[in-house]
Amino acid sequence: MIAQPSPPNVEPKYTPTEAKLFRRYRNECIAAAAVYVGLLFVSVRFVDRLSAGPAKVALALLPMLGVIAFAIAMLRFLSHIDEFQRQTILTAAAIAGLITAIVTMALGFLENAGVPRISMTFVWPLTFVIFGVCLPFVRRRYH
Amino acid sequence: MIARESISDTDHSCTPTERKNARRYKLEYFGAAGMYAVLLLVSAAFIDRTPPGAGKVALALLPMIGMIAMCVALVRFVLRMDEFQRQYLVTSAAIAGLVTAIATMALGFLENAGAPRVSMTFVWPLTMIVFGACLLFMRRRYR
Repeated sequence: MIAQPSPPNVEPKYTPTEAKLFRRYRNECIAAAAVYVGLLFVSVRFVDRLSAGPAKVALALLPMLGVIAFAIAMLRFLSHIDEFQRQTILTAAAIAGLITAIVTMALGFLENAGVPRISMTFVWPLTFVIFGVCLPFVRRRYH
Repeated sequence: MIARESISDTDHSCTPTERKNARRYKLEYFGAAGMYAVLLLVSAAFIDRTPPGAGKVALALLPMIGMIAMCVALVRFVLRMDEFQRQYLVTSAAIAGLVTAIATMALGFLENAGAPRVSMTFVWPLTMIVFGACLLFMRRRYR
């Protein structure tokens, strides 16, 4: 359930500053993932015992702190890398967003044919898997 | 080439080529959207009468042809753009993908608190609304 974007491949040609940025990003991702897993565990374990109300909603949404921490780590990383690399990553992310929108639409139409509805939590992993697949292609095209 | 823009034009920031591209995109997009609407109607009208099987799945997925045509129109438009415009379009799309991933994750967690599962068909409109909002914001900011 932990959808983690594939961390940038650390190739030897990176400068020390870049290597430091990658390291920091990786550490932040691991921390965010740990927060997410911890909060998810707490949320899933106790959400059934609460009666319906704002507290239940808040408890259900608790793991979002980890998700948002994750997004912040990504944005921090993006704002520090050079323009060229950022463009590569943004292009891959844009393609991933578009393909995710198409795939989920197809899944939605399949619901009309009797396929059961799947949870919205699958959109995030789907986006990041597609992003991870697109990134090497976009990178190769730009290099 | 001299009279690039007539005074009566409301949008002075567009060159004739850009206007032509935008017009072509609009035509392609509305063509695709029309096709989508027709196929959706056909699909919705006959899906309940079709027995489960490959035929039903194919009928359910029929509107995807229109959907993919819309995406092709969008990608063609992006490829015809100049570098600068493409950059903020791609950035907006990347942000839209990320925000959609976060928002759907929150919706997914709300399912644990008893919220009903939402159809996957809502991911596309969500992405496009966020994309449109980002685009407006960036256009104002970078002009």
